Amino acid sequence: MVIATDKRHLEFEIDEAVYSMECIKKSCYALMAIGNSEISTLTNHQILVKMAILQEVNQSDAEIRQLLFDELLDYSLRESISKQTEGVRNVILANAFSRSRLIG
Amino acid sequence: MALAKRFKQLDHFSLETTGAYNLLPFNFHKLTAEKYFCANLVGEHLFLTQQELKKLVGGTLPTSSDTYLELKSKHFLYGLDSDAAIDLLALKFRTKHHRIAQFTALHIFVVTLRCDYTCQYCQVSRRMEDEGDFDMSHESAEASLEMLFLSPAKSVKIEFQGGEPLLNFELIKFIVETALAKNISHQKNLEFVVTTNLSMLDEDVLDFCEVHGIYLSTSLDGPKDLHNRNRPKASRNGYETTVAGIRRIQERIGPDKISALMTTTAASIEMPREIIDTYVELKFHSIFLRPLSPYGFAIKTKQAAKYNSERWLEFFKEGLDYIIELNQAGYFLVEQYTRIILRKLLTAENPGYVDLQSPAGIGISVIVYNYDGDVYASDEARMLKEMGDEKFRLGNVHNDTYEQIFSADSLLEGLEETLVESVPMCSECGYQTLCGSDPVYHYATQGDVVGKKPLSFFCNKNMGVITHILNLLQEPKTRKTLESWI
Repeated sequence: MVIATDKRHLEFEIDEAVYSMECIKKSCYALMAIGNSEISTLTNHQILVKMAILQEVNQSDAEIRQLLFDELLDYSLRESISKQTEGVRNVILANAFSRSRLIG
Repeated sequence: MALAKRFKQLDHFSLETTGAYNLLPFNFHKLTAEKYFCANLVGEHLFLTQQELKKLVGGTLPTSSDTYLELKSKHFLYGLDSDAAIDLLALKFRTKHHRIAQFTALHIFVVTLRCDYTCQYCQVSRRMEDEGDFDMSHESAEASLEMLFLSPAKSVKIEFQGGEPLLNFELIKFIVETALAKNISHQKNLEFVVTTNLSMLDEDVLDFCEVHGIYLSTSLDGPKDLHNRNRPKASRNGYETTVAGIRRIQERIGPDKISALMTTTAASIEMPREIIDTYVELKFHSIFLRPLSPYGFAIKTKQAAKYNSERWLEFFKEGLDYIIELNQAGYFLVEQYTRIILRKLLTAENPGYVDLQSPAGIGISVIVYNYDGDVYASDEARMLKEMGDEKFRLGNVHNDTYEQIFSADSLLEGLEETLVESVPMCSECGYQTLCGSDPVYHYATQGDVVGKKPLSFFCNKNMGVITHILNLLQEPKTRKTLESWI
């Protein structure tokens, strides 16, 4: 939800129950070419993202908000895949490199 | 029983089973609001809608659906009936990475820094023709060859670079003959390439190249005015010299023995079609649409800053569309960067292209012996040195052993810190298996071997190129054309 907007500073309040801090950090990182983000925690599991939009960026506030929430959705799906596949990833990599002389 | 400390505990490998199937590791990249490109650990891929992707991850994809069967056959998931997919995937992963043990395939010998051209974008900070201190000595050449034959790689390419390497042709002859003599006992598959502007091409050079099956590679930036503007040559017409040299090699040694490379300057970016037409006129069947590298004179003359990744991508797309058009009109012409990505996408092969590998290509795919015996992790690493930064200087053939050079901190750290599997954004990028890591580029442009990918020309370029190729493959006629390039 956009809770406050001035000229080219946007603020987003995000529910940590929906998107993890990790997802929020990764999404802000991915949008580094749009703006610089400052992330802080509020009470009630809310996370505040303050984004200073770079001067050369032409997208509207609504478009930037859409970009952020698209990234959040993608990173939360990636987080689910990573959690579900952590064990099997370790098995695959261990099998792949066993007796390969690539690991000591 | 407690395991020894070096082994992970058994729960590290536990396989959790939930729902009707289990996911295998994969990444994805959003192509449009509705369409996602998904690729697993070994690059097997498919396209899913956002709904399908959500269902897949949420464990609710119907096991009777075609999508489920395709995902199962491509090792994105395995059913509860069998976990054989895990072993198969491990085997494929191992095969994909097999060539890492077979390093180093490309050995670049900088036989001189002298050059007779004054190119505004020169990345190696060439020296004047008469500055003899910038030639490689026989001793340095011999010591470099000693090192080359310690490489585990069975197939080795020796590339002569400069400056203009033919200004030190006697040393090239010495290196080729010494390498061939040494190879009688080593039995490697040896190949030689001379990267030259062709101005010193004469009968002696042609004879020697013909006898030893040596390939020649030159620079051709496009039509006469553009080529001469990009690559000025005092007193002579560079374009005419280059074209005459290309034709002479094609007729004398064979059309497959000469190839050309172009570099995109601000002047080139407006004329992709004219550049491509020049290659067709000269009967080339491949062209490599390359952006400028941000090193050497390209920085001093501010050439590298004259266009951004978006503008370069427009140039690339217009050029690639035109190349496809030419193919469909009957002239076979391959765009090399597209071909590398297609081979990564559509075959089990890893083309071993230096810039598109993880671990990075530095040291593993390429090593550079500079004219003074210094060893660099890549061609770009020695370009960086010519700008005064020795970050990727690994040692010297006269003072350091092979082991010291290949275990240099700058090499190992550069490799370890930049694995695409572990760096921000790349680790979760759907294009991970198609792309790679370029620590020297990111160090040169951002002062950090990893680099911030959202701000990286390298990342923006590759994202744009790969997305364009994936879109082109959706159209059956274009797909057929592109598949003919593999």
